[in-house]
Amino acid sequence: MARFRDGRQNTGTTRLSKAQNPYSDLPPRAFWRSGVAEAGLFGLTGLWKSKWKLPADARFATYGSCFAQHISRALIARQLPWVDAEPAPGRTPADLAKSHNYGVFSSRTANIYTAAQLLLLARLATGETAVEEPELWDGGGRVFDSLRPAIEPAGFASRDEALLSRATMAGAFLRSIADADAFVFTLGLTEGWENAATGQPYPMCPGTTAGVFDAGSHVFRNYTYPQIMADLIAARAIMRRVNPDIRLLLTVSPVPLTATASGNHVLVATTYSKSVLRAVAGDAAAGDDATDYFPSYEIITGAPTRSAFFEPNMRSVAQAGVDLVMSHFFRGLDLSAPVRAKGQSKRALDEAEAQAAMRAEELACEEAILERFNDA
Amino acid sequence: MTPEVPLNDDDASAEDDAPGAGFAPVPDPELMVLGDSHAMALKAGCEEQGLAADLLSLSGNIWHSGQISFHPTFGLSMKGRVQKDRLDAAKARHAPRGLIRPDLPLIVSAGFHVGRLVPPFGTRGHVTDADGFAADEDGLFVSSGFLRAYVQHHRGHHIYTLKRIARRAPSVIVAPPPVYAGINHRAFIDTILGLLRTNGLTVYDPRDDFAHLGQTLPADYLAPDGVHGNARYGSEVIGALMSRGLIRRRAG
Repeated sequence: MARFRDGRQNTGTTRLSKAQNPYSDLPPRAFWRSGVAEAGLFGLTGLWKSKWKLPADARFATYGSCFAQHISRALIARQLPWVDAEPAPGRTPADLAKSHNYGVFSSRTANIYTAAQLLLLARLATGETAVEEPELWDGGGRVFDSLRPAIEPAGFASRDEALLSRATMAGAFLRSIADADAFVFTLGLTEGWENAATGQPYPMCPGTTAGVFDAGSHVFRNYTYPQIMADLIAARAIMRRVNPDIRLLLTVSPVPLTATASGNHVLVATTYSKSVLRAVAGDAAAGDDATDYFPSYEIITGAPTRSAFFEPNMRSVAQAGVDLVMSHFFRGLDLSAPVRAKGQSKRALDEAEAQAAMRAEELACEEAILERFNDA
Repeated sequence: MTPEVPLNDDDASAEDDAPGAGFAPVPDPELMVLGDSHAMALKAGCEEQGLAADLLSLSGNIWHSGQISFHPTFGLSMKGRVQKDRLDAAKARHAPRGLIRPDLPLIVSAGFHVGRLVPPFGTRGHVTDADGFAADEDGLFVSSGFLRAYVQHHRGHHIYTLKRIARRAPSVIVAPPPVYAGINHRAFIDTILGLLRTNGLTVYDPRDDFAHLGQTLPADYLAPDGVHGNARYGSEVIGALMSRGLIRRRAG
């Protein structure tokens, strides 16, 4: 007779009545037929309920891959306090702000595709990694920041200027962690490139947007679940040293890979990448009260949509899909805790108001640049 | 953050009561001083140097807001009504030959108006150099590429207008007197100067000849308001323009 770990005996003959069945008391959303098939795409309910009760004036910092930009914009559109730790100068026209990546994320990190990048930025912000340490790339008489090669449309005039800009970003990234109640991070890719000698992760393969590719020193990485989980937990630990009360809200980008260097078909590579990220995000949230997972990935890619929210390129997410994602986000968000006495500074309020007018409609997505290299 | 440049450095309130707004016209001038409130020191300098100069000085606010345009056929124009009487009077003085014409060289004090650009730019703590960044722990460094694009956006119309004017009349554009030592002020002046030069315009930066006196002009070169140059300053600028061959006395 089998004996289970908890000591209960399995008689093999017990017949549970319907009332005793573990599934019999589950809500409709627990069953595919009632939760999905009959509910229909726009009838889905209870996809997410925030773990936390946040104050009505909760401040959100947003970072991650391309899709994270939608969350920034939706928070601003809802007039929720979005941390803008590195705003554009006053009276900057919207197109100029956009071309220099102001107002896209809570500081000018540009897209953070991997957990390895996030960890490096957290270390940079806290001084564990010196501002001068990550590479700068020279090209065409200009200097490019290897952490953000497309942050300025034409690069920087000098190495000093690039380092000052990087230091500004690092300081702003730190302030955004310190000022935020929730740090929203969208995991984008498992694939990335590193410097073989130093281990520095790159947001983009050198030689694509800037820099020169060197097969001897630039190595491809398809980060595994343990590596990503370790980097994410390490980054979270750094953030908590800065702000012990910060909550981490993870999402996974539903946007497929533009290209893969894994050797697999890009469809297969995409499924692998998103599956790993989804598993990491879920487990990171399951194991920590201050970490949560919001299912934007499922809303866009799940069977109910029949891929209808992808644009004709089957990669970009249509605005209707973004709207649906964000409607679930705001429905599940609990902002019922009392407003704190400590409000935003006047400067922060002024900045938020001014920045709201400067949001560009198009998103900045450097990874899409990879399509340039598709000769097919 | 306190604006580093008072907002009235080149605005109408600083200028309307200043000498020159109702100056006595010069018959048959050999050159014209055109621009904002800083034009008046240059006009005074012309007088000190014995140059017969006409003056058209309009508020820095008017220049800043892009109300002044130049059309090859219709000449100098302005959108608003404020101080339009000054433009109309100047046009009347030069009718029927026109205000902007090849035989009337121009000394131009326009296109800068940094008192309207620097304060809003820096309100959120943005700085344009390493010293400014080091001085403010929350400072936000801005690249020279961004600054150039920012200035181009806010001064593109002015540069276009000055180019059209310079095609019609020999022109030298004079930067404002070095009055402020603020961290962003110099960067804006330099960026505007760079854009003017890139666009083929002839420019003169007083700092080239006054730098030995310090970062900012000493009091004996300043008007009582402390933000404009005086006749002594204007005279030395005009002298510098002549010694550099940027303006010439009328022959005979």
